[in-house]
Amino acid sequence: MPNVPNIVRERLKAAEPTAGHPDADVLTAFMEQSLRSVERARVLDHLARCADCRDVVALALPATEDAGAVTLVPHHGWLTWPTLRWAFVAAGIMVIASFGVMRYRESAQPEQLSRYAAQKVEVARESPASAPVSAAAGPETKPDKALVPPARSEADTKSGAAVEPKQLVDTELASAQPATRQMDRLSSEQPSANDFHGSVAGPIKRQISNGPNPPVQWQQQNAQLPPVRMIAPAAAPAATAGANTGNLSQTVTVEVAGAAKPVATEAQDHNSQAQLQASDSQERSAYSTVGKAKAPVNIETASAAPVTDAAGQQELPRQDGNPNGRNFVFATTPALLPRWTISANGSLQRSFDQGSTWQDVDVNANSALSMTSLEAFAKTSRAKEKDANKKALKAGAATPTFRVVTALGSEVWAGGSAGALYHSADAGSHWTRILPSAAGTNLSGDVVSLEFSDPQHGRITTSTPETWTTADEGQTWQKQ
Amino acid sequence: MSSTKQNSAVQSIVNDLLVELHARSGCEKIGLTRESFAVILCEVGTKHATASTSETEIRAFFLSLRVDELALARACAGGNNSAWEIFLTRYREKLYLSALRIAREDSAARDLADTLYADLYGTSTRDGQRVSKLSSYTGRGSLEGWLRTVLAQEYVNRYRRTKRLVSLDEESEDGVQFCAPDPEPAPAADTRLEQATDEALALLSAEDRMVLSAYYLDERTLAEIARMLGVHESTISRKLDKLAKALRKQILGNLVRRGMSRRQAEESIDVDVRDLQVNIKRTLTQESSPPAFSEKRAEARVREGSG
Repeated sequence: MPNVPNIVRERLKAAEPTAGHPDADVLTAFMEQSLRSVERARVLDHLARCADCRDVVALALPATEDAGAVTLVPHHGWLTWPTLRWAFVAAGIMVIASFGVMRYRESAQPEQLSRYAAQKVEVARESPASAPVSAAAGPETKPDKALVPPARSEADTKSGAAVEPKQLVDTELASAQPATRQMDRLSSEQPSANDFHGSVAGPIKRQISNGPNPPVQWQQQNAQLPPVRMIAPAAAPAATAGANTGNLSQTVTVEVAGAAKPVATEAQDHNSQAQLQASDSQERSAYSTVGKAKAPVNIETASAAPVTDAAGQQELPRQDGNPNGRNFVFATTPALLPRWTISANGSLQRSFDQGSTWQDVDVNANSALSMTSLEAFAKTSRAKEKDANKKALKAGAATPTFRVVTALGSEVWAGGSAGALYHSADAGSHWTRILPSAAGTNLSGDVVSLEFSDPQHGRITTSTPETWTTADEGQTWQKQ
Repeated sequence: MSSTKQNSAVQSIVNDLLVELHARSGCEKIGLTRESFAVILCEVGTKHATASTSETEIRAFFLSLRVDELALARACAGGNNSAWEIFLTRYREKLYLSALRIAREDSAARDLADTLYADLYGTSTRDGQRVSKLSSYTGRGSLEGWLRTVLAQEYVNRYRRTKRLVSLDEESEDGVQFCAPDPEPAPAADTRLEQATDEALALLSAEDRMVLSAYYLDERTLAEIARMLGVHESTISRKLDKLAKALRKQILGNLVRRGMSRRQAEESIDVDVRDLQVNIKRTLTQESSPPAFSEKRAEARVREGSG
């Protein structure tokens, strides 16, 4: 603080009070700001001259906690304009900033979605007929060739879920950054034959199969196919399961964490609805590619698209045997679904290009023995399933001679000699052998007709003749 | 307005406002009649009103009174037991706590509080009438604040009395009895300086002078001064800054107007002869041979200049 000349101090000190000391009442009123201006000035003048009265005032002030008792004039209170002014300015800035952020997010989302969709399309296309039930990607027949080796699944691994399965198709979703990194990491993984086990609850892994190839092939295929749209809701975590071929040359087994909402990557044109559907259905099951008795996630794929597994939403029965786990969502466009036929020599064939070319489908490549009883299913552990699979493979080592095939979207039923009945929920990428059984008897005879009005309800007629019906997608059968 | 006229004006206003004021006071509960209360109001009004007080001002004055506390205090002063019970319930604890804050020491605080209690209760009598300090309460400020002020006044009086009792030993140490009589007043320049300073100070408002006094004489903190005046601390800080600069400028101007040159005026302000005297005295008590007067003057000038 600045100093004043000593003379000032001297003269202040020398000043004598002009009037008597104000009484306690007046001093109290002064301290409580209750005096009128004239009287206040008079008291102030006295205080300027009288040190004793200044001492009294200083001592008589209420404690700081009791400041309320003394009515202080709020010269610079919080509610005065100078302070409020800045409060208003700050509030205005915050409002504008939050508004701007919201607008930015809104504009960013559509872009993200479209980008994501575009990428999904790419992935879907790439996803070569991962169908290849064949174990080896190499020896894979035409389907594989025609397809980009790494089936790119639309696994949208948003939430970082990773798919265990060996081969994962990288969907390259912009939104799935972690997944992208994951994919990079996994890209070096080699597919292994016969291993398409995935864990139910594992994170979704995406694997990029050979880097540069996919895009090239994808482009090739792209030319042929209508643009496939990968859809992934911005907020949905990911995962779509890609079709898993036997040895996963192109499959993405995406396991969605229980709570994760897998994003269905639909190899469809801008089928966001499909995706949404997929998302909804996702909640119910985790897709485990491997080790499940049930067929893996069935992803609808455009019939023409050489996408192995267009990501589709799939719900696979959980390993815990949830009877309702098997809900399939058809979210893909029909154009991506393959056509089915039985060749002259009883081979099951499918075509992704409206019949221009046909590929044999080996139902034994990754089939699993399907128990018709829930109990059996529930009990099946992974190890057991593996054994069961091996058994089934041994049992049905010989590819059955098919007589009939029927498909509803990606639901495919194929029946043949010696009671051979196979079901695929993913347009033929994975097959499950069905053994209708009721009251101790099994289906016998050749399957001569298959009628499925919808995925749940079906009727089989055999050569015996026997008629078997199911109302729950083949889990249980009744003999008519 | 003559005092008689003034009294009658007060009376009529009291009559006017009595109903309202009586209702607010609640004096019936403490055994104070309406008539007694009217008398009290008249006394308070008369004491306050001056010759220049208008009726409007008197009316406003009455309406601003804390009539409920006034009634309680006057009922206590009159010896009303129920009033005393209420008073003790409300203020006993606060009185002691205020005394403790003022005296800062328990025994002194108790002494202070007990003395005040006796005064409030009215242990002394005058003309057979109990004299209670509460009679002097007029309701202009809160009763609690009034009690604190009375305590503070009592404390300052005690301290002032104690301060005056300086022991001979202390005086001998200070060398008071040996101090030489003050030299003759400095040359005319000092008078001019005093006059110029008084003139400059007179131009300031009472509040400004009070702030200057509290800060430079009492050496109070900015916060304390702010609380005394009911303003923000920063207000006091800015005020002092402004005042210090303005004062120097004003005094210089006044000195120049009194015939001094600018340089003389500055010298006059910065160097106070009385300061020199004090310095010499201090030096004498410390050293045997004081330095030359001129050297001391130069040192003082340097010291003042850097101050």
